[in-house]
Amino acid sequence: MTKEEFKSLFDAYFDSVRSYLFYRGAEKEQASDLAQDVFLRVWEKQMDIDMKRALGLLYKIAGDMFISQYRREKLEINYKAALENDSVDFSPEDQLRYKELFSRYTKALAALGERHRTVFMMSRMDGLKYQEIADRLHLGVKAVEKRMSIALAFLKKALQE
Amino acid sequence: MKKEEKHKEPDRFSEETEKMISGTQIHWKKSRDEVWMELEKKIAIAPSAGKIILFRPWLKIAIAAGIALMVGISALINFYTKTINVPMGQHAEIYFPDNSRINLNAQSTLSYKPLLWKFSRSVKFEGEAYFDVMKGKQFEVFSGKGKTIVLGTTFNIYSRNIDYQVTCISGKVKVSGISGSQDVILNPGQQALLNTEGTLVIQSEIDTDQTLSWLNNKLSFTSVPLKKVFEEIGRQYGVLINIPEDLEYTYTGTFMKEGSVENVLNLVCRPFDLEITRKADNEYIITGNK
Repeated sequence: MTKEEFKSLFDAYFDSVRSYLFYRGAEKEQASDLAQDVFLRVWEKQMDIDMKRALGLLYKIAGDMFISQYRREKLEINYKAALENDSVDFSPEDQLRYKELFSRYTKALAALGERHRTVFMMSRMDGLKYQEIADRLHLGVKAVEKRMSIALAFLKKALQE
Repeated sequence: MKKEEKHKEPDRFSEETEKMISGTQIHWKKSRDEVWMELEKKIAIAPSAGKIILFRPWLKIAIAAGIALMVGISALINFYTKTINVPMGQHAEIYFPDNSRINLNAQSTLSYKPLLWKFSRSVKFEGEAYFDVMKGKQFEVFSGKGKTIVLGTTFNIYSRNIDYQVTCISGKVKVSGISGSQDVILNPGQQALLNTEGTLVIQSEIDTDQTLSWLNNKLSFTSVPLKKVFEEIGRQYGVLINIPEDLEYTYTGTFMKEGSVENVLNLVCRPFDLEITRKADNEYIITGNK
């Protein structure tokens, strides 16, 4: 793999991989570091990555790295500090309601199971299609649908209360 | 990657909530370009020559071969069975991998899976044998007419034709009839046997010394039908004994196996006024005097 090829791989997928690590439950800085390590490993091993399978492979490496890191230090998931909402152009009353809703949302995210949260956030934050999520996580589309509907039901309940 | 891509979701949030979620972002401290700058420094040292191709064709073959080998080994472990056949006129002593011991009486068959012994102590058995089982996992003896389960005890099983008798010498022994529904627990000195209806009955205060007398090359009978006595003598000496159909007597007596088969037959036959004829080297005919 030439450096140019590597750079294009990095540019194309670094953001998604980093977000994925964050969805899994890594802290923001940690997600950046881990994502960097994922690409470093690909480079060091000089993996002959077929572009079609590259994404799935990157996600797999990222997931494995996250888990080994997670084993080393049990992570506290804190979405409130990491996520930000840029809906500011509302009346103070609306903003207050938003803030309230938003804090409930981040709490619910932290409470949601890792697998469900990851799929949900890949769908809503990255705007990926179910098929794309399925490919990246080596899952079936049905499994993604199932996780999505569980996540949605969970969050809906948490936000309505 | 656009946010507008929509899925058919049966379950959507209220418009307000959707707006909030889609307006949510992660604010990274380092941009992608900053990370790249860091990474570039690191990879400057790393080598880039040569390509490692994942999953070469031979690797697939090697993996397939490996799987086949594993399946083969587990099949071998599962199916490798050791069978011990003790012929007429002989006794045998067998030790299992865990040092449990079995003394097999003449004309008995035992089979077990030595490679699986650690995981399941289970034997198939017909005939008569004395078991001295080491303490450990459940030890099971399957016979045609029933099943005996112990943890670590000594006991004797007699399983021939329609007879199934289990005698507990020490510890506790669980016996199930062939139907499986009926379980009995034996304490030392108790014996379970199948009655004519095929149900297990317990007999207490069994003379266990007599039950185990065969271990000392002693033949001991207490009110045993004469037909069975001759069967047992034939079994112990490895001879064929033809008897008349209508032998209704029962016999009580004890003798050592040291004597010749003719001596023993004489001992048994005299009180009943039966006659012995030697037909061949190891074949005798018993006839009644009417």
